[in-house]
Amino acid sequence: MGEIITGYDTDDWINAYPTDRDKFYKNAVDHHKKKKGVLIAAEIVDVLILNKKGELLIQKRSKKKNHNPNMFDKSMGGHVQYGDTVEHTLMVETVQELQVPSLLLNNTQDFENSIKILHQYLNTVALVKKLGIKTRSFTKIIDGEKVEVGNKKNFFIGVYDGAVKLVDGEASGIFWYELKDLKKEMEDRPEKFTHDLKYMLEKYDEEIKKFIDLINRFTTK
Amino acid sequence: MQKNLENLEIFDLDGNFLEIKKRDKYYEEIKKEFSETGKISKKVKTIKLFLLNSSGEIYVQKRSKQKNENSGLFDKTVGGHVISGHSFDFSVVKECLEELDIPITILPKNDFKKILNLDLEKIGVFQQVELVENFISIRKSINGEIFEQPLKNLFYIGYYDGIVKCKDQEASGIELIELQDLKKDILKNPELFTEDLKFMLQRYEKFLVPIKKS
Repeated sequence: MGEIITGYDTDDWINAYPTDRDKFYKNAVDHHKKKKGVLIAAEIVDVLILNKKGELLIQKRSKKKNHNPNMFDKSMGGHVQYGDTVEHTLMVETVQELQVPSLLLNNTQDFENSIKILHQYLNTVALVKKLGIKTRSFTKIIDGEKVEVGNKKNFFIGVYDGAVKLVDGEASGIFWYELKDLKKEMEDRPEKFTHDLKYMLEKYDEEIKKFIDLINRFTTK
Repeated sequence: MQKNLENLEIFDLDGNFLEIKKRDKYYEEIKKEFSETGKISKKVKTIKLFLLNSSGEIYVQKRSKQKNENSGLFDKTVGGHVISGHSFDFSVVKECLEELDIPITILPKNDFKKILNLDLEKIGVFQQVELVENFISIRKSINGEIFEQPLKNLFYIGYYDGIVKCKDQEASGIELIELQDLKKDILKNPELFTEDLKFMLQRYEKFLVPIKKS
């Protein structure tokens, strides 16, 4: 049985429906090839994780992946399985990819207090908050071809300071980057970075900088 | 213990033991000697290693930007000093635990050939590859200066199929890469890789092979 993910038609973002993952991408590629435009969308959770130094966790995707092979990408991300909530997906992704639980705190005051009180425990838990939701298309490399894929993206940002593990078959590399170094490398070699990551850094530049300030405020002592 | 307070055994280049010194003092001394004479007349014991998985992919470490030397460059999997009183093998076990969080053992050549009988997801297995009495490690400092340091270095190659951790104090990242892709990347951007890594790839290429069908 294939993976059943949450899909939308791009002219109706209210009614989600179950769709087979492989079929979804087959159709998206087909629409692209026939120049029909972006008709369908998949719901996604994308997360940027920073450590206590304010460095961003970037993963290099394995060259064996069908989607965006060999490219530098956000810290983690995944499809929302049909019937699952976004919050559940976020929790599962952080456990699977970092092997730590995450706490989602949507209240700004709660989030700040948590960092303040728990800053010594950030190697055992990731504190996460929501950045925003966007519905639009993102460029993906699928089987060597540039394809526009519709997405409902749920963006999150979080702090985690433990060791990160390289799990074979998932990422082929994991790196901590200072924001300015990451942006410079992105300028120098734009083709090496996913559209998802570029979009997040551009769209949420201010939020990311504020987030780094917040981490610095409570953890540098 | 803080790394710069560790005791190191100091030798002259003929291999005669001279004295024991704290790491930070030793480096102060040889940096001074190098800037004055362009040469270093003493050496310490070190280990350098490549870790592979059984399909032959190599773990490459990206050095932290905060390091004084070779900062931000891609490097061999692990390197480190042999602390006074420790053996080379012990140092490899210790460094693998500290930097990669993996349990390993070192086997003599004859036993190493049998490692497919072991569960490499549970334990990493290394062999000694070569002891180089006066290995010249070429390093680049932050201001671009080249520093050539002689080392009594023992090289190791090992295999492990479990999960490897990147501890961010030591490195800013880790990547698993096929030999052919690594060689291509080095040809394209040689300035992004350490001289140690290039040396080891060239000299020990015959060891960097898959031991199992992937």
